[in-house]
Parts: sequence; structure tokens; C-alpha cells
Amino acid sequence: MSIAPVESRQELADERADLDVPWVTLVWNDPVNLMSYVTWVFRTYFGYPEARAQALMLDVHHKGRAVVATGPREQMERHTEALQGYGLWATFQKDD
Amino acid sequence: MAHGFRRERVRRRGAASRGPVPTTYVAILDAQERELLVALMTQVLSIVEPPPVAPHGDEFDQMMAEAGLSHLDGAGDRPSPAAAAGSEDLDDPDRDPALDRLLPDAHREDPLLSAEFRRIAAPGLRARKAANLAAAIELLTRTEMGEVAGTGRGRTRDDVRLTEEEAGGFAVALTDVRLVVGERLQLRDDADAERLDTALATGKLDEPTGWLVAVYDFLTWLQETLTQAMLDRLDDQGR
Repeated sequence: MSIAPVESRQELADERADLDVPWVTLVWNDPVNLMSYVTWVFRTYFGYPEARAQALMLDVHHKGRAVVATGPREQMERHTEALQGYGLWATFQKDD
Repeated sequence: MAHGFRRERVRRRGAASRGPVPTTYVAILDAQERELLVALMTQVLSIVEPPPVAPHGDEFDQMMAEAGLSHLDGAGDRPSPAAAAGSEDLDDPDRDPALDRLLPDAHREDPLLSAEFRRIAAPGLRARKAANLAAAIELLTRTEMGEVAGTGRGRTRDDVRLTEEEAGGFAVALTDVRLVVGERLQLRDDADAERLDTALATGKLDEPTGWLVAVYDFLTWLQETLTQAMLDRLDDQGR
């Protein structure tokens, strides 16, 4: 059992929780991008299987947005940049 | 008459039949249609191209900015004057709204994170989009006639032929053009698209807008055929 004061243990736990929060890449619905094209980008860029790419595309279409990747911030920034390169409306943020 | 992109399968015999069969995507577009695409792509290229870098400042920084590599100059977070000059139109409050459509905010709640991302990513993104549009223009203006490998048939003047690699870039170029035309038509959400469809169906659009809608529909049709053919190719590869 630890003999560390309760307060400092609490601080450590909070810091770790913050570091562990993953970031996400989101794709938002827009009226221009074609459903087929969005699916093609998910299959080509992420290499997602057809069913997963299709499900994510439908989430974007019906729910207005979908989380297409989760991970460290730098990686989510890279995905965002690549997806914007494809013309998709991509953003990144801390997972909530 | 024009037809959209289709896959042309090259049949190979004997030992050569092993390994992946190359795919060519072929559309038939007449001179007027190709000219329209080239004109639109040229316009979008001029919007997306990074603005000329101010002649002052460090020559190396300027070179890196022109190559879209400002963030790789080893300086990390140091703001490079050349990089700032290379995307200053993004900070202009009177900027073309199409630029925001091509390079949207990367973070919806944190303007500082968005600005930082834009500073780092925009020069490269713009350079890549510009290069991609230039390649698509080049593909549409290729005029050489010649035999299509392995088919014994020549390409006709109205064929637009794309290799696997060219096809992906061409689809991206069509997307960027549709984003800009869509912005001009003020298509910002699905409701806008429905409003436009209704106005078109009831003859309530003025002539220039009606023409732009026709252009947009042509671009949509062309991209849809290309994308379906590319998806078909992925299915064949079992991916």
C-alpha cells in the first residue's frame, strides 16, 4: 500500500488521465462530396474493408459526422491533412 | 456522345497473365467538354495555388515555402516569414470563400489550434492540390494518338484515358472543382442542395445559375462514373 499523501496521488492520476485521452479524426457531412467517393477515400487511404468504409460513410451522411480514426494527436493531424487533401471536410479533436 | 468513365480490361495471355492486370479508365468527352473541364480546373488552380512569396526574406525559407515544405525547415515552431507570406491570403477577411471550402478549419472549437494547423499544413496541401490539378489539365490536353498497349486499337481523339494512378488524382481534381462550383452555388448543407433542386425543377433559376447547375451536374456525373469504376476495381482486388 502506498504511503504517498492522498492529494499528490490524485494529481498524478489526473495528469495520466489527460495524457491517455486519445484524439480523433472526424469527417463531416457536406452536400458536395459523393457517397461513392467518400467510401473510396476510406478504402483507399485507410485501407478499410468495404463494409467498414460503407458504414462510416453512412454515418457521415445520416448523423452529420463520423469518427474515422482514433489515436495520438500527431497521427490525427496527419489524417486530417490527408483527408482534406482528398477534399473531405475533416477535423481533429480530443476524444470526448 | 459522351460517356463516363469505364474500366477497360486488358486481356493478357500465357505467362503474362499472372500478377495484377493493369486497369485503364476510359471516358469519351468531346472537345467542348474537355475544354470546359480544363477551364474550370485552371480557375480552381489559380485559387488554390499558394500566392507568390514576397521577394524579401531568407532565400532558403522562400524555396521551402514554394515547395510547400516550410514546416520541414528544422525550425519547428519558429514562424517562418516566407511561410507566412505564402499563405497570407488565408488571413485576409475578404478572401475567396472557396478557399475555406478547399482548406476548412481543422478544429471546430479551438481557433488557435486551427490557425496553427493551417500555418503548418496549408502550404503543402495547396502545393499538392495545385500539382494535382495541373496533372489533370495535362491529361485532358494530351493529344497524341497511338496504339493502346496490348489492344491493337488506337485511341481516338475523344478518349480520355487514365491509368490506375492517374485516376485517383483525377477524381481528387474533380472533387476540388466541384467544391468550388458548389461554393459558388452556395451549397453548404443538404437543405441547400434540395432548395437548388426545387428551384431548378420549377424553372426559378436565372440563366447564369442554371448554367452553373448544369456544369455542376456534369462534373458530378463524370466523378460518379470514375468513382464507381475505381470501387469496382477495389472489389476485384478483394480490398
